[in-house]
Amino acid sequence: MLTDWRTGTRASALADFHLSLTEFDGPFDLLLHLVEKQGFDITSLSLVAVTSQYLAYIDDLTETYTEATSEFLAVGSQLVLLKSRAMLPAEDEDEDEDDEAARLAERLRVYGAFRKLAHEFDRLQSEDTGLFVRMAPHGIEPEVAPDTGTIDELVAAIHDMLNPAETTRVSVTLPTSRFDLTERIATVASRVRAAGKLEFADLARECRSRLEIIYTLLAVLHLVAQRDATIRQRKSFGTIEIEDVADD
Amino acid sequence: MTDMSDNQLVPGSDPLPDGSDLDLDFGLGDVVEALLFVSDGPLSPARIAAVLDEDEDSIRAALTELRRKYQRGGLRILLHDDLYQMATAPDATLYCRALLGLEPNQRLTQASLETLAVVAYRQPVTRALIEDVRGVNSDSPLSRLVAYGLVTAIGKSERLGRPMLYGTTPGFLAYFGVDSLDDLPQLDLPEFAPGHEAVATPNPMDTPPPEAVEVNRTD
Repeated sequence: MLTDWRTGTRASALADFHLSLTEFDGPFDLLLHLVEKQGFDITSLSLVAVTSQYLAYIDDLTETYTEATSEFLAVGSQLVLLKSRAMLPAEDEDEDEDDEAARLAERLRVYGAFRKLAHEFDRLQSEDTGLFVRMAPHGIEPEVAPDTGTIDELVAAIHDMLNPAETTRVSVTLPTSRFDLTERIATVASRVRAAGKLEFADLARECRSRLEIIYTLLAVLHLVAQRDATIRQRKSFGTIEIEDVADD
Repeated sequence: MTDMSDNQLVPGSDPLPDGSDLDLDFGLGDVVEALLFVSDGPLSPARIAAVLDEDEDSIRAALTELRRKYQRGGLRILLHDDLYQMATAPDATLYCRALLGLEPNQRLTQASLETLAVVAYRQPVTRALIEDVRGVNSDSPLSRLVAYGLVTAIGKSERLGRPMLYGTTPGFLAYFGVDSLDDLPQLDLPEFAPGHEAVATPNPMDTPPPEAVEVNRTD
């Protein structure tokens, strides 16, 4: 068994079947694959025997980044350590070293049992016999997020806002190009500056069309974005207060 | 079931208005069966006992009997961690899916299946224990399993940092088409049992009997 690594099985092992490192779910998966491929039992000796092959695989790390890079390297360095000790003539039995190799073999054996289960699970799931259980009963109303107000409040708020404009809409015959956002911003800015504080409804009331209200709202938002004004709405769909930000 | 349906005071066993006693055969097991049918989630014997004002032992006996009765036919009764739930039979899966207009599940990856195996046979487990067994970071398979409803957080460890403990759900059994943990493949490691903390160095000396591998059962 030991001749395997002494004669350098790396080339032949990789020639017949080379899986990329990314095919493996971690260092134990790779290690177990190599041990099983050689037909070895999981012993500390067989771990040493597949060290070269393991290292050949993690050469890939320079080209392929896998999320488990550090884990592959950690196990690789452990293998190198075990192998170097195995190659050196043992002057006296060091129990610690034996333990370390045995521990790794033991972890691999435990992992192997769970990997076998995972394969069983895979077979089960491929049979496609998942059971169906009852779903939640129907008729459950989705909850309305708090503080958004009711639909009635929204309709009322829109109505209040548009109503003054609606009453005068018949007299509006001016083309839409009449409204210039820059101009509107300047107007609103000067109004806010002069008043110090006013309500959006005050501005809206002077508007002669919905479009003008929209331009006014955009102008107010622009002032807020420019930090020339602040706005505050105390409740959902309530009055919007616009306040001038005094320049220092 | 006949032996336990006698002398049980349950809805429907009262004499009919005309004085006849036609519902004599309607027993505790039948009521429990009905509760499992209407429930939209798994039921514990304690919950059923509370609803019916019966002692838990009678309920358990009725549930065991029901599970036997449902070994054939179109329905099964799932048993997971002392929770019972009615489900369709594995042979009906294709047709149920056709009716519901569902696509087959996407299959779980090896990483997810390994993680699931560790959770199932070593629960309750911490994420650290899963990673110790697998030798690799298991964050994403674990969170995927939680998102699929196969695994859930079932508490916090008393150990340093109070890490989250994970266990399987009844949906885990349903996913693999089995109605109890006994029907799952057995773990090929007799020394493993619930409560074993050190995974890296399991001591073969305190090997529990193989049947103790069954997970997290309270009955």
